[in-house]
Amino acid sequence: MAKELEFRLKRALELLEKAGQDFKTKKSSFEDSLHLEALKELVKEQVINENSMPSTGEAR
Amino acid sequence: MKILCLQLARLGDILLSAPALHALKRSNPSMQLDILVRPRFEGAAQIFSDWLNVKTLGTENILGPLLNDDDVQGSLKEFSSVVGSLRDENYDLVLNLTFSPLSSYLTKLIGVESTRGYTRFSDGSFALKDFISGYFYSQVGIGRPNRLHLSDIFASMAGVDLTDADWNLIKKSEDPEGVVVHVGASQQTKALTVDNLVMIISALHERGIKKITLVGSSDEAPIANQIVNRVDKKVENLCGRTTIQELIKVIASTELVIGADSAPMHFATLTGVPCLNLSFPTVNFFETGPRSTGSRILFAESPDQVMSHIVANEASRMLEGKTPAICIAESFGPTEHFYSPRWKRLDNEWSIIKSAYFRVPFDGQLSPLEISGINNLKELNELIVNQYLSLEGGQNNLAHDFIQQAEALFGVVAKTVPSLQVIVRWLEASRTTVGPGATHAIVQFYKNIHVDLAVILDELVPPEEKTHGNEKLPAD
Repeated sequence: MAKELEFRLKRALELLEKAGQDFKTKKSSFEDSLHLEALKELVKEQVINENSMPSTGEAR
Repeated sequence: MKILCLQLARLGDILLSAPALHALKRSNPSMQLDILVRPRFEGAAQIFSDWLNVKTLGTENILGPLLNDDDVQGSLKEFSSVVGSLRDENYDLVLNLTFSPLSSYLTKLIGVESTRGYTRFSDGSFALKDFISGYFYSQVGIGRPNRLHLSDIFASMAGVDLTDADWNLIKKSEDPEGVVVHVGASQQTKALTVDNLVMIISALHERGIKKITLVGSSDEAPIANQIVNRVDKKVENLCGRTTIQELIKVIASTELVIGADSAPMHFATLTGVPCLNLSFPTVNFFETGPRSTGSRILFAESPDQVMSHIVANEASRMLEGKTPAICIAESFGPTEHFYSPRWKRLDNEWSIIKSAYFRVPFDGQLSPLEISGINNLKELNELIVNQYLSLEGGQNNLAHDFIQQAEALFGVVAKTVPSLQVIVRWLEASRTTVGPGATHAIVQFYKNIHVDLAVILDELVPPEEKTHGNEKLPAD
């Protein structure tokens, strides 16, 4: 994975963690907190995907 | 009837999901069957667009605001919009075949009453609501003893029985010729070395196999170039030069595909072309191995231990229709389990799984240490059941601590007797089936789990054998 993308994904996770704390303070809705958790997982899986080799014949 | 399948894993998983989805569609041709995939693998899903509607999770749009402008709210808005559009479809069923945390949230957020696969309880905690999800969570994966193929697991999730019609999804050439060699794999640890590939291809040439074609991704092209430069005779190099559609045509018109665990093997299975699969401990061939009739699996501890002459010999025997020389498993057809009489690894663990999950009489051979471990688990389990019974009967302030400590000791036993990890993982997954609710209902659920566990443990070591396990173990 390119260094710049790695940095941006890491930063994205930090921002989402911070947003999670803000959600707790502001007592955001349960559904909003589920969306935030899902987004965190999407970023984590993106890191894994970017680090995996492309599959044969896949469009990147 | 409208069904959404979530398949947000990689290309191979999409291909392994296809038979189950085809069977689902076959069972009800008028249903609307949608699949949600990552944009990167859309091409693979589009192969089945005659009977499957392909949707993509717009990862770039969702993550764009966050990655480019540190805009959390922007990304949340995009994500909510995607979820909203899926929710608006009013699906009758969400079939989550992804087994990832993201997919569990997505399944929950789409808001459909009927779901299968990983999801979330009403309080957001992780939920394993169906039997096969619990099985996958606790027993499937590399290094684990599962011997059920992923395509069968997906079919169980979908509630369908697979037939040959669900496997022959890509048309095979009537006049196949030559051998296709895949030079890479989805992970480096599954891939053969260049030296090995050169030796295998040279050995195939020596055995008179004239047409050899190299396939692989664009990242694997340098490997193929090295091979072409080092082998004496002509090799067709298509590595990094084919689209998915072109790759399928190449595979469909060959007699045999050789390679490690990867997408070309799965394409071959869906085409009915036999494979010679080179497998390593970094893969579980029972779960993802090629199932086209006549496929064989060779095993080595690592890619650099693959013996080229053995591979070439087995390939020749396959092309000549001869019986296997040294393979550890073979496929008699996609609807049959692998035939693997010589494979003994994790045999006992698999017997424990069959007994615990499928209530097949236990057919393993337990060592004195394993019998002792099971008897320890029985005693701990009895203690836990009694604590839950006392909780059902009224207040017991100590019960919670007792249960916690006894459960921690389950882990200690499994650490000492690794084959019993199957049981501990069964227990962990079973506890994840219990969602939020009234205390007395949760207590009853947990108690029932431990009552079931008592039955499982008694099946492994009947009560009359209990004393055997308490004998002093030999010093060695």
